This record gives sequence, C-alpha cells and structure tokens, in this order.
Amino acid sequence: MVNLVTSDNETFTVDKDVAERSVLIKNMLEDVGESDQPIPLPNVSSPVLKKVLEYCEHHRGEPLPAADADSNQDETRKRSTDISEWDQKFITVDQEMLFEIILAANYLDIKPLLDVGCKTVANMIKGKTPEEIRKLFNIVNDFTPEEEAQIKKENEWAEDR
Amino acid sequence: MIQLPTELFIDIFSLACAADTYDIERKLHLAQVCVYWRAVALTYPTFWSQIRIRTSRDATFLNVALAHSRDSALDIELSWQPRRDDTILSDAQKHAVVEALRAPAQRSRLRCLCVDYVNVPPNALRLLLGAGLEFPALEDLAITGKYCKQPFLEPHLQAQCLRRLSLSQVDFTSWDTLIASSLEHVCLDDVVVGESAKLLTTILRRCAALRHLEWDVSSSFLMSTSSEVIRDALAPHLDTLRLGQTILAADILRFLNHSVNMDPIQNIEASIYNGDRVDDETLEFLQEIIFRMGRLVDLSVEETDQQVVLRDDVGRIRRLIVWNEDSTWDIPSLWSALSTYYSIDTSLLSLRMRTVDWNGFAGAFSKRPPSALTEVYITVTGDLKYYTIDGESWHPDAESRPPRTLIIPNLRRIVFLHNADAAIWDVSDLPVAVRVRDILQYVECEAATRVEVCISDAVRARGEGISEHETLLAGLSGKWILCHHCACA
Repeated sequence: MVNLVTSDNETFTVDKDVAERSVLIKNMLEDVGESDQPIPLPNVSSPVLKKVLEYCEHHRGEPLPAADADSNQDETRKRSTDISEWDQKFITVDQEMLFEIILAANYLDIKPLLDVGCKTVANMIKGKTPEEIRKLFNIVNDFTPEEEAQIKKENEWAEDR
Repeated sequence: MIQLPTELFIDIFSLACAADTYDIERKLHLAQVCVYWRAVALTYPTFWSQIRIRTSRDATFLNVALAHSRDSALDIELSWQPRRDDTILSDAQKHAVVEALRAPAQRSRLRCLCVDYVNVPPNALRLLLGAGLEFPALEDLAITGKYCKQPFLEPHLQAQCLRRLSLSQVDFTSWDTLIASSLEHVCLDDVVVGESAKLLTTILRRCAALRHLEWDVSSSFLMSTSSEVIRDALAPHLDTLRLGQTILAADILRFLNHSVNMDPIQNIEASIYNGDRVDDETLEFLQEIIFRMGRLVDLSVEETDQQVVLRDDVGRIRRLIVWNEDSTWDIPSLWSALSTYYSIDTSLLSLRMRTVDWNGFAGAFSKRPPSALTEVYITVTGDLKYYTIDGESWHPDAESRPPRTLIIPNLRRIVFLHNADAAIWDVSDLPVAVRVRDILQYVECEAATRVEVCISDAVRARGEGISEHETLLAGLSGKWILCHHCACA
C-alpha cells in the first residue's frame, strides 16, 4: 500500500498498482525503494485526488502507454476525440473540477487521464464561435482596440457577407 | 476559468481541430477568444501550417495562415473541384492564391502540396506547377485532375527532395522534371502519358530509393522480350508493385522480368480480365507474376472473392485480381494450372478458403490432392450446397446435389474463421457448431492421423461461446480433436 498526502493534508492509502498509474508516483517509489514514508502531493487537493484515484482504480491493470506514444502520430492529423463510455461519465464534472483534473493528471503524469480531460475540453469548444466559447467558459474579451482591429481584419471577408 | 499551461492548451486546440486540420477558420476562432488563447495559438506556428483553399472564404484566410505559420513547413491543399455548397474561387482568387504560394518565402517551405481540379486545369496551376519553379522542401506532391483531358497541365518544376508522387486522372506529355531521384513512392492512377515505357524505365533507373510503385498508365506498352536488356541494377529497394486494371499486367511484368536487371519484388498485385477460365492469356499472366518465386506454400482466397493470394517459401506475395463478369476465379482451373506448371499440389502447406469455395476446391483436389497441405483456414460464409447466381441473388442449385468431399491427405489442423463480411456472404443462420459438424463430414484425410479443430474465432465473433460446443465433435470420426485452446475455453 502507498500513502499519498494532498495539499490540504489529507492522506489516501491506495494499492501500489493503483498509485503507479501515475508515472510521477511510480518514479518516486522506485527512487525511495521500500518505504512507509507518505508521498506528498502539494499540487493536488483531496477532492481532486479522490477523483483521480477513482480513475486509476477503474483502469488498474491496463497497459500503460509507451513514453513516446504520441511521437509516432503525425502531429495533429490522425488524432481522435473519442472517449469511452465510462470515461465520459467519469469526466462529467463541473468546469472547475474538469480543469483541476487536467492539471493533476499533468502534474502526476497520467497520460490517459490527461487525454480524457483535454479531449473533453476540445469537444466543448469544437465548432463554436469566439463569443460562444467566451460564454461557455466565462472568459473576458480582453483584447485591446488595436488587437480587435487586427481580428476584424482577419474576419473581414466573413463580416462583409 | 483556470489557466492551463500553454502546451496543454495547444494540445486541446489541436484536438478541437483534429477532424479537419486544414480548416483555418476554425483555428482563427480559437485565436480570437482572448489575449491568452491568441498568444497560445500564435506561439505554435505548426498549428497553422496545414492549409486548404477550397472556397472563396478559405482564400481570404490564406495570408493570415501563412503569416501565423511563420517559417514552419507547409502542407497545402488546393481543392479546386467545385462542390454544391461551396462558393467557388474566381480565377482572380486562384491567381492570388498561386501568387502567394509562388513567393520564395512560401515556396521554399512547401512540404506537401495536394492539388485537385475538374475538367481543364486552372491556368493559375500552370503558374505554380508548370513554370519550372524550384520547390526545395517539397516531399509530397499529389495531383488529381478529374475528367481532365486537354489542355494538359504539363508539370515542370524542380523538387530535389520529392519522396512521394501521386498523379490521378491526369493526362500529360512531359513528365521528366517530376521524376526526382529522391522518389520513394510513386502512384500513377488512371494516367495517360506520352512514352509510357520510357517513363517506367526512367522511374526505375533514376529513383534508386523507390520502394512502392503503383502503375495504371493507359498507353500501349511496346517493350518486349526482344528489347535490349538494361544491365544496370534498377530500383534495388522496390518492395511493392501494384499494377492497375486498365493495363495488360503481363506486358509490364514481362518487361520487368526479362528486360531489366532487378531482384524479385516482394509484393506484386496485378489484375487480369479473364480468370473464369484459364486460357493462354491467363497462363501467360501466371507465368510472369510467378516468375522467380520459390515454392508456393500458401494460397488464400480473399473474402472479397476477387482476389487470390500466393506466398512462397521466402515470403514473397503475389495478389492475383480478376475482374471478369463474375469477378471470381475459377478455382479448379486455377488449381490445375498452378499444379501443372508450378507444382503447388506438392508444395502447398497452408490454405485459406471460404465455405462458398468448397465445391471448387473439392473438385480440384479430387484430381490433384495437395499432398503437403497440413493446415486449412475456413471462413464460415455459407453452407456447402452448390449455389448458382440468378440475377444478383445466390440460390441453392435446383438439383440439390450433395457437397463434394474435400480430400487433403495430410491434414493436421483445421481452423474455422468468422466471416467478417457476413452481410454479403452469410446465407445460413445455423449456429457455427452445426455448420462445423456438417463441414467436417465432407473432409477426407488419412484415417491414422489426428486432426486438430479450432473454432474459437468463428464462435466468439458470433457470441456463441465455446462452452456450448463441448459436444461439437460427438458422433463424428475419432480423428477430429478440439485444439488445446478451444478445449480449455
């Protein structure tokens, strides 16, 4: 078993094979060897780690992606945004939690979870106009008048229609 | 909104555009959300380097995309076949696009260029591809000119790094500058050229790195065995040769076999119109396509039923495609010819067939049994009745003749496979177990040998489960035993 300590000082005790879905934790365990020392995760809060561990538990035993899994892909051409049914249900969370999960997956180096998070955001913005995206994520339009003019120029043809 | 690191954001942007990475407008939308999103998008020039110009709208975004892509390698699609919902580019817009791409700053970083057009090639294309311009980074060039006859495009360009050339439905007379010595992959599909024999020789002679050649060039091929043999070693790395349907494959193969100095090619795919009977033309075709092959150890009838695949003992593969009226090989005649001239009846070790081929193989094997054949893979496509075609439907033979017996003297293993193309061929709803029992009754082999039967693939794909088949072999000859995998399942 492995003890993980979150930023808000909560301890989670999990099976080693579940914790080792995280490449970061796996490397830490390999570095320290056999030890009961808890592993601090200062960048992950307890509600987020709970969700992340739910994912790791569900996918325990599955083959881990190769370190260079993406390098064989021809840049962006052949990528798909398909998400499995379980993963879709898992990632149906509020926006704040969604982005926290992405950040945690990135920090903990859990590539499949990071993929699920990024694909989810990509699916949310796909085909939307800038204004629709701003509304969706509550983003302020902070362009200067000069930048606005530049953007208007980019869209000139469309606006003329 | 929580801000993500830029590398994650660009990953999300790429995924959001993954369905169509050439759509610039979609990318522009992402770069127009806020200052941070714009900064992220503009930080990665490769995000902007795939550009398609199909509509007037696309054309207006070209310069923006070129600017944002900075100095990254460009992949450009000029898709100039009008579609119903498109706003067609005017000639002036086409010229503007070409002028932008002709500029040295853009042309020098053009890595991939795909052009397609209908009817006559737009004059603008000649300014790009027919003006002798240099494309120092171009690796991939594809030109498709649907229904385009005269006037010809007449490409004339310098591309010293060109690795892939694909021409489809294009007629032209001059081709010399297209054949760069760096080419590895050449696809000429439904192409009409002047001096096709010279073109083929030039490709083989000039392109030392050539690995893949698809040749469907409509033109008389005048070379014959009496032509002078080219002594230089040609295209030493050519691995795959695909010959199209509109040419006489035997002509090209004869030339390659007898008039040039080449090692046997690993994979060859070729078509012949006949095949419903093995006539002189078919024998000539077989002679050239099997030329210098080793012992034929593997024969496979593909599920698409038009193709027979032969493999020799060093792994060379020959895919024989027939496109007669029925689009099917006459199996007994083919087996007879392969046995008579290539001794396949004594060399074949493995056979992959379908149940609809049953009586063809049974008839063929009754005269020339495959003495070395030990392993048979059978795709369960239908039952073993004779079938005749009435219009477009298959019907059991009215005379209801029983299936013939398949004689395989040294059979050791028989594997039943699921029919992936069930919608077309599966004429029976019977469970696999029933059909397997039916089939095994019509297989004859030496009584002393035990023959392993594997049904895992066939039953699993139909969701029937092997546990239901424990009594599969009950009552049949004792020579049949379930394979270890099926027995333990």
